[in-house]
Amino acid sequence: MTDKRKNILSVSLVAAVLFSLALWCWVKPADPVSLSERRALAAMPELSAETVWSGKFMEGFEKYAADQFPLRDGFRALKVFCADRLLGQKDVNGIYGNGEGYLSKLEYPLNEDSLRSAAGKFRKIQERYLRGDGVRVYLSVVPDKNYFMAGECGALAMDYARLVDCLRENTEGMEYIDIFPCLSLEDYYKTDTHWRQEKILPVAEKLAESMGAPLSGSYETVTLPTPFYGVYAGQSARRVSPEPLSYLLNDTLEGCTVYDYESGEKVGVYDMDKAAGADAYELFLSGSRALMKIQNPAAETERRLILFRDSFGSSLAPLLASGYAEIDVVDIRYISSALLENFLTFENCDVLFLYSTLVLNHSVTLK
Amino acid sequence: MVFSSLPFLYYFLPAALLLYALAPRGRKNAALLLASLVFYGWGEPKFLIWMVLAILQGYVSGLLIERAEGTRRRAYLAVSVTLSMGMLFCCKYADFFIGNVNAITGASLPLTGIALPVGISFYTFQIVSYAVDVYRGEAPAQRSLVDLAAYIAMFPQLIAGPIVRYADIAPQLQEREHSWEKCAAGVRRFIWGLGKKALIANSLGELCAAFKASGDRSLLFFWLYAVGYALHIYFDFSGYSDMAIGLGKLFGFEFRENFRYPYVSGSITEFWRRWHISLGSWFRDYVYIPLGGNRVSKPRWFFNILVVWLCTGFWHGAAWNFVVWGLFFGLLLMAEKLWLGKHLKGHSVLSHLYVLLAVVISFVIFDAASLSEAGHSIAALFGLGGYPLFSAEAVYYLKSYALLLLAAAVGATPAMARLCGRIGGNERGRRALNALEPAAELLLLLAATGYMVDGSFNPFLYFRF
Repeated sequence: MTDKRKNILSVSLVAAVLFSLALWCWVKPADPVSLSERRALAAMPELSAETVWSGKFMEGFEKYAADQFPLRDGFRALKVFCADRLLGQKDVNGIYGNGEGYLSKLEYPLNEDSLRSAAGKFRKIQERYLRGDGVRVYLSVVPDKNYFMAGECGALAMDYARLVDCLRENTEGMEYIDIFPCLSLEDYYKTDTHWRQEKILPVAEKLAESMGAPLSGSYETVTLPTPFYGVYAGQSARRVSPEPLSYLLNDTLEGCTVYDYESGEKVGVYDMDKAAGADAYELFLSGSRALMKIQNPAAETERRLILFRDSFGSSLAPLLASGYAEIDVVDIRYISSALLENFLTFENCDVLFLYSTLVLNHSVTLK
Repeated sequence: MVFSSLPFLYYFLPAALLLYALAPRGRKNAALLLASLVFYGWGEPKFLIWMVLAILQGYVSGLLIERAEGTRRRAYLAVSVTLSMGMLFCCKYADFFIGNVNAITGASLPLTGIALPVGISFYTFQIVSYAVDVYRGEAPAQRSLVDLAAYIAMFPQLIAGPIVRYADIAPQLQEREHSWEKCAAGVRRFIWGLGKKALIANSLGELCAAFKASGDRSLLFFWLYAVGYALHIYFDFSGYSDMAIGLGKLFGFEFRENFRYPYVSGSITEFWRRWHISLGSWFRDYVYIPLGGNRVSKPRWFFNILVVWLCTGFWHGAAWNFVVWGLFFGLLLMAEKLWLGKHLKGHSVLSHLYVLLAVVISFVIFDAASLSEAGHSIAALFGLGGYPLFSAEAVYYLKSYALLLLAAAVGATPAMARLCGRIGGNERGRRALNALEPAAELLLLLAATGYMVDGSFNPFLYFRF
């Protein structure tokens, strides 16, 4: 190719891309949300003399331009390809993969202040509510995927042994149940933070057995017809395959009733409306809920369990139902622990604090 | 607005290019000025007032200096330079001096709280350059306010250089060539700079940010940061200069080179002939030579060198670490002139290692939040910080950024340019390169867009100067 042709081609190609994308930016209607990233996208800021003079319009426009850019997901994927494949970066935006489809987000370093704060909040609940007769208090920690993936991938990982030690040192009077040996990487979704309900029966059995409430019954595995993309699928902007999302069902669970204190309504153990939403994992106990009560009319015991939990507990709580007549499922990220006495009684019950390492390492969200 | 942002690339630039292309021949400078004012006002509209006042001052001063003679001519120049530098002092340095007076005397003089207008250091130096060039008779005073304003406010080089001298640009303001060849060269240069900034500098910036956020530091991590930052600042600033030069070509202008592979230098003297050339030559022509340069006694010569490097450091920021950074180079330059320079010649490997070590240390000083932090970091680089040899984080980031650091290190040398030169040395190779080049530019533009869409706002380092 001659120099002249090259020059004409260079200018034409770049101008074509620049002006086409520019035109597309100008005429493209704004999308309210990004389904892949599971977040609201920035809208066009208000244009007025005041917002321009203060610089707020320009600030908002920068965010609007990045959020509403045409082919946003494709361009993000191109960036990830460059950083990951061409430049060999071990993580992109903190997300890394193990080459077999499993994605995880770096969780590092261990924040001992956060752990002590979480332990302090648990102790406060214990001192305020759990000193009555017949109350047995347990503590367990759900490892995040990095516990299984980081070493293999050469990624940074917290000192999990220190995490557990630190938590135990600061939660005197709570019996610790170690579920780490019951889990492996395959027990988690490839593209999500969470564990798979159909894989955590050993965890439920270990917890129940440790609390003296053996479980009974077997389950049928039901798989949702729609493919599941976890939270990292969109965040990572990598090409990922969907995976099945299953839940466990049996007569006991079908007979259970679930009361949602927030809405004041009875709901199902599995919320099929949520299963069809942006985050299908919310099918388990309707996702983020402050306070719910699972009642098992078929229980052969009067025992009660109060489960303080995060989102990992949503899929686990139903599996404990056969061991209890009632399970109160509490998420103190959405309700202040000071308000619990208005809804719950704390006598003659088992109490389990079940939290993931991800929440414990960022416990500012606990109230 | 920064060049490596979506609003610039896909909103402002196409509109500015269209406006410029559609403007009649006699109105092209006005179109450029209008685009430049929008560009500058985008970030902080209030700062437009400062810039307009500075332009008006420069315009009136130029005319007065040209018309006057003798002492009066000199007085007009002094007034113009004092006004320009006074404005820079008020905005950039007043609070630094007040803070230091308060610290030394125990007084509690109130700070002015004046925000630093973006790019004021650059356009102030251009106005001073204009006034001095007119005073020296190297360029005629500009009769057209629009043309002068277009020179001072010209958006491609307004906020982070290169510092364009009026004498260089004056003929181009009246008459300049637009051609496919120039346009293609501009596109090529701009996209190359965009790639340097978006793909390399910003990624290395993330490495430096990871170091600063880390509580797991080690000797290895300090070196990783120091080398990463030296490459980061080079790719950030030279990337911006490439974009500025490329944009200049698109609007028909030819700016001087601002970087010539500074990290291959064999001495600090050579380094400063290759790094931020427009700033170095500005200080040489408007400070060093007027002070007498090297045609004076040796003590006076070294005094001149120290003054220039004190000013160079201070120009970069109103903080002691910048002053020390400038003096550090001043002392090295004096050492080279006294005896070190002779010893460096003939020791190619050692001289390059010396330059790289000095430059890496200098940028640790440059990037430090305080002198004590700089001292702490430099001590740690030499194993005096009490840190372990390596840490888990250091090893992780070394593995994660090894390829990027290697690519950046190679990219900071003329190796690729030489390779392309060799391939293009014969007709067949040149045709092959010509076929690949447009595709490479397109891919680089798309990849940089991907980084911009995915990334957050990454302002250029030199915006604070």
